[in-house]
Amino acid sequence: MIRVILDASAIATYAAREPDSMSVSELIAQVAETNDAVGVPALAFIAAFQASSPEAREVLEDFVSSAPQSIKLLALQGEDTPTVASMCDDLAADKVHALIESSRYDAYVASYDVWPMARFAHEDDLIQLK
Amino acid sequence: MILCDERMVDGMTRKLSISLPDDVAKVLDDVDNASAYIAEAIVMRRERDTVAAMLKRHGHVVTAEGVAAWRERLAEMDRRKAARRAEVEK
Repeated sequence: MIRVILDASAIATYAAREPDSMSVSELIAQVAETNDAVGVPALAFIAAFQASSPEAREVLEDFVSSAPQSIKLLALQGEDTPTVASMCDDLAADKVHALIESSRYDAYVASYDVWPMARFAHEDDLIQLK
Repeated sequence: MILCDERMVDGMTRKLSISLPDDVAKVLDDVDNASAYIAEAIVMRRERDTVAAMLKRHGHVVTAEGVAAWRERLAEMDRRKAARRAEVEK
């Protein structure tokens, strides 16, 4: 079961090993502890990759290939593409994709920057990382 | 301590004779397929170990307290979500 969806801010912070990243790494460990999975939307992965250093990009590549049962890379489905496009003026594409997958899997969205999503999701479905 | 000896049955499975502590073995008394139960437990443990190794390889130190805090926070979020849905269904 996919329990938590990460947006680009969560993925990039994890990869950069910033001081705040302990929050997301411990969240990942907790999800794995119950044999659930963390979802990584493709658009969030791409956005995080674009924002990352070469060293962090290596971490990202390893991140989505090391534990496929626990870290699931989620492709943007064709039927969801118009939704992402139609919302791109109001919300970053990675966050739209995260919300779509959150709805699909009934999972929470974890982000270091949840407020832009608050207009489009119930606050109880959003996890503010810190 | 778990003791075992093993024999090859075919290319896909191995037949093992294992020794388990009494309290652990007692769990298997109530399951239909002990082999499947043990196999699933091993796969689950291996996946957790894989994630732990990945986090360590990426330079992340995970604390038991931090993981426990997330366990509580997610459980609380689950409770709130369930309550919200129950309210909607009324």
